[in-house]
Amino acid sequence: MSWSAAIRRRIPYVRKRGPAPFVSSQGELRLAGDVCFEAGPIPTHLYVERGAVFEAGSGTVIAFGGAISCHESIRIGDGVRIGPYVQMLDSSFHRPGNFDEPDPPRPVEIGAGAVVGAFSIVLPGARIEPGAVIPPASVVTAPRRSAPS
Amino acid sequence: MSSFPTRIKDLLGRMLPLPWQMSRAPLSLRKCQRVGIGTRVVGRRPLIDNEGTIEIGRGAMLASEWAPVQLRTIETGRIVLDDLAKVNYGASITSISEVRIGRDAKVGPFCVVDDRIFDGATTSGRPIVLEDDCWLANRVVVLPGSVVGAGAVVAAGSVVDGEIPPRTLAAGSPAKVIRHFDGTEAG
Repeated sequence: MSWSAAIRRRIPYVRKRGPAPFVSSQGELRLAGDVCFEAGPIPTHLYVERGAVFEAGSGTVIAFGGAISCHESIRIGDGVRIGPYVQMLDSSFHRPGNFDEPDPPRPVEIGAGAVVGAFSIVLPGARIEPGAVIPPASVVTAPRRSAPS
Repeated sequence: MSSFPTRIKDLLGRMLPLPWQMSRAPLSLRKCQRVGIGTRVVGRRPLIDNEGTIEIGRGAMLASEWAPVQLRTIETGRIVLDDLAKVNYGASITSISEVRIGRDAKVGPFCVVDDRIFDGATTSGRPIVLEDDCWLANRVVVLPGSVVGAGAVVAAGSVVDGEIPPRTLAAGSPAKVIRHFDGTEAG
């Protein structure tokens, strides 16, 4: 089966013309055989820091225009659909007000078969259950910590 | 009076590229089944992945100055741009059933119009209709099965889910009517 036919069976998509994703990876990039980065008006940015792991399962489609910044680990399950212009990050880069103090990264996990709508933002520590549907233009945060005593 | 030469310059700036924009349209849009006369392509070449049907009426405009416009159809898909429809830069229109953009409808920059439904293995969609003279502002997402009524305006960043009545201003996620253009506020 051809590369494109393998994906076509799962999710309908067209990928023919448009810019390739802009990847700058010093870490580990684990992409299953039929991960698809959709072509579109704007390329997807994928940044993986040294020692970090970005994992995408088979049949996952990542649409155009997104920005993915991985400092520790972002794991995307099988058959996930990430919509256009979705931003995903597992670290806030630095503490507010202090550029020198790094923010501890919190891994992001997206379960198999989930759908993330267009223009959504997935914040550090977010966990999306398998099969969940995130509506467009939403913000996914980490689960609330227990109230401080 | 001092604005007079500026006006001439503005007018010329709009008029002079017209022959070029019109004459390059048939070549840039050669993958479309029908391209009406007077259709203009401004800026870069639009990205067209056509496995279904794309029909563009007369005098339509595809402006791709800063980011290209993307039109995509999957096998059963159909995109219809009526006469004088305008699609601004970075907008992406994807169809697996039908997307109809009415006469003089305006699709703003970086809009996402997609009639595909992602529910696992199935490959389905529900048609989207943007009726005549409606206007989608910047970064509007239109979900499958939506209808934007004639003369309606959707505010920037909104998510359209369902039906927007004609001649109204809608905003928010999901977009709700906040004003009617006949002068009454939404109750």
